[in-house]
Amino acid sequence: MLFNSLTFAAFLAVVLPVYHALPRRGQNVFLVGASYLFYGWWDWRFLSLLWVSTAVDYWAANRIAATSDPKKRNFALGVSLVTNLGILGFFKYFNFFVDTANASLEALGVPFNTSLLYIVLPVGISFYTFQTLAYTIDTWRGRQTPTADPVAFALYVAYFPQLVAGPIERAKHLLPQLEQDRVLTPQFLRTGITLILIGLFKKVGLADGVAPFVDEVFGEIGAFSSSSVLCATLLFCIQIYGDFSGYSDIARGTSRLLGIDLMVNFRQPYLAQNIAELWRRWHISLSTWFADYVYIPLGGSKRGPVRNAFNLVGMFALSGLWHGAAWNFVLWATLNGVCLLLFRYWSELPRNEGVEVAPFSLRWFAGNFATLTVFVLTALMFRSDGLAGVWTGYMALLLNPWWLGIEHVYVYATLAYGIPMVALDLWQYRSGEEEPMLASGRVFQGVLLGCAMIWVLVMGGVDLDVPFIYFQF
Amino acid sequence: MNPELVNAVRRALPVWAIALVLVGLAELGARAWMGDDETWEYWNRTMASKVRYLKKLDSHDLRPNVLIVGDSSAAFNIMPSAFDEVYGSRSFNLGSAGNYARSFDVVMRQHVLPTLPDPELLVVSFGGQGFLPESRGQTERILSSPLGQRLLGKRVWGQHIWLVRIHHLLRLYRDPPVTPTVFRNRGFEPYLVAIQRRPRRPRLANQLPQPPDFLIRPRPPAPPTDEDALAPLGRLFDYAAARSIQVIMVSPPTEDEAPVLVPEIAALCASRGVPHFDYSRAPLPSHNSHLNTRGAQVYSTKLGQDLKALRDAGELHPPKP
Repeated sequence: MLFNSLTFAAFLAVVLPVYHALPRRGQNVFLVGASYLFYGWWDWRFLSLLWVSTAVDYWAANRIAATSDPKKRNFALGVSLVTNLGILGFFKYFNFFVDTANASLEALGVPFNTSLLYIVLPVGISFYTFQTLAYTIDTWRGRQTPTADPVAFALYVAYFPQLVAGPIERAKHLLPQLEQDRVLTPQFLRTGITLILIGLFKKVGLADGVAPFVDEVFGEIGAFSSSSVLCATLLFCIQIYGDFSGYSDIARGTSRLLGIDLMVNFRQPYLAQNIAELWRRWHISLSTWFADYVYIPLGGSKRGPVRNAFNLVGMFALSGLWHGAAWNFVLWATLNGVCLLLFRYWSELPRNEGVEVAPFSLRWFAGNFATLTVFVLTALMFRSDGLAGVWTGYMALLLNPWWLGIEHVYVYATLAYGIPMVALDLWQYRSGEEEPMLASGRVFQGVLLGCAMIWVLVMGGVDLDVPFIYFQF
Repeated sequence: MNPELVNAVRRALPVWAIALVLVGLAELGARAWMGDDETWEYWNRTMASKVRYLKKLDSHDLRPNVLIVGDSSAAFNIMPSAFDEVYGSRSFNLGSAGNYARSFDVVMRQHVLPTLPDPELLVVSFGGQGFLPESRGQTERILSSPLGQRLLGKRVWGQHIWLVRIHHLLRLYRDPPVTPTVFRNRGFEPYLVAIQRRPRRPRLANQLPQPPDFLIRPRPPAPPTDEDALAPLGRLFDYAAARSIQVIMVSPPTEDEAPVLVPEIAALCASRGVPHFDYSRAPLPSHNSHLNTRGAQVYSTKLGQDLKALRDAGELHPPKP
């Protein structure tokens, strides 16, 4: 069920009062059941994958902690890795690898034609497998003591607010909350509801509102003028940010109503001063996961510049593959990795080292513009339909006529949806608060809420059934 | 319940009250502004304008006696003024680009046509690909419009909330700007000219097509290869038969890139007693199945002549039930 649906509202209306009426142990059992119901609403068959992942990682982590024998520890870790990555690899990447093998061998003149399988991608598989892997790996590293409470662990894996699209929580942050008593404080109530409203505004009011424009241009990108392609790419950047950060906000807000705090996943990334800062602010839970479990184990920056370059770009390439089983995602992420690497070299130049840039100074704007230029231009790859679509898109951007007479609509849309998004982000950035409106008077809050609701009805996608983009990951 | 929580809820009530009052006022304003506008449900401004204008004509007792319906082969190829000059009618072009058989059946036959005054004659034009199940064109966009969704029984919030209707109206104005004369359907030609101004549409010389006789004489009906594909056409004939509306079917003078179902269409028309003109046998130069202005003029004149001959011979009648 989508967060922006009546079904979810009804689900929450039942879950919240029952949950708060129960003692902690009962709360955990109830939430596990509710989470399975939430996930099974898409497809009950994929609950089995969730159960397998839960059972294997519960056993593996406790086995690792129970023995000091390296062989047994490594075996348990290996079972966890094989199970989780095997599930992920089969359901998400089987057809990708077969297709790539077919194409590569065909190009080499070797006859090879393995059939593709009809495989449905389970919702959220990329998220919960990474979450459980982090748990097992941290236990193996000695950074995490596994829980002996199977219900708490099952809830850690299946916790419905963050199950299907993150944030990818670490056990150190979430598990202790699940093992302790929770209280719904007035602060959590206010901020939770506010976060849900902000998330709905971003998702329905911004992301769903621009979706038809984006789909229209990218549906036949070769036929549009280059200004339309550019506007559509900007609109896609609005869409993906509104969609994903909106989902994260709703997830965190919902979780707060349950008395549980989830990590921040986005911190106004489009206000970053450089590409490194952007990636520290965008999908924080995934970036830190790859840093902790891929980049650093490979050696990070500690094995010389060449190895560092390989580690950094390789990590980004893998993260591209995480986003989708298609080469355009890999290309998108790899290019961003290269840009980040180049930025690091540039920032290490003597004249740039240690330079502090004041927010909203001229230098800050120049850096922000350059950062967004890179991000927007590479975003075209992310949205395109495969490598062929990437090529067509860039050819349209570079070679098509600039203006054909119909582009004003896309320009208006970019301004109309971009301005509220930037305004909200600026407010949060300047105040350092996620819910800066709560510091204002109640009349202002009421007017703001009313205007946001009117905006969503008039400009948003209320009548559209647009799923969250990151569900496909 | 925790008194602090109760207090927090109480403090939030004025915020929600102010917000809901604002939304309520905005909704009232939207209802006052939009009035009884029905065009917000349509999938593009052209179609919304056509239907609105047609109803306006009817209210001034200027209702057309010939309706031209179908996909872009109707919308962009049949020129009402050239047709009327020869046939002696008041025609109106209700064609819509991408309105293939599936969306036509849902939206036009079930909703638009019944809400309009019955014409004497329906001129139906589809490219053959319009009947193929895999042909989508803008069909999905038409069916995903509020009107399409409502007719398919899906939830449409805009039915109840006028603010959402504004959203759909704004969406309509994403279409390319049309000339003011589009509202005078008789002056639809400048819209065709506007289409021709788009790049990659060649200027084409046109001549009268040969052979001159395009009327398909009735022959023993052959079973259609795909009964489902032509079912929408059959239902349109049923509709016309029930209301005693004369119908003719035309296959446009263009070469479709997709395989066509002209023999099957001809067979169905023959079995229902519907005259079928197959101009695809001598196609005019076209781009993407669309003629330019001159081509549309030539074709529409020819169509008017052929229909006039048929009418004078007493061979125009509603379809057989």
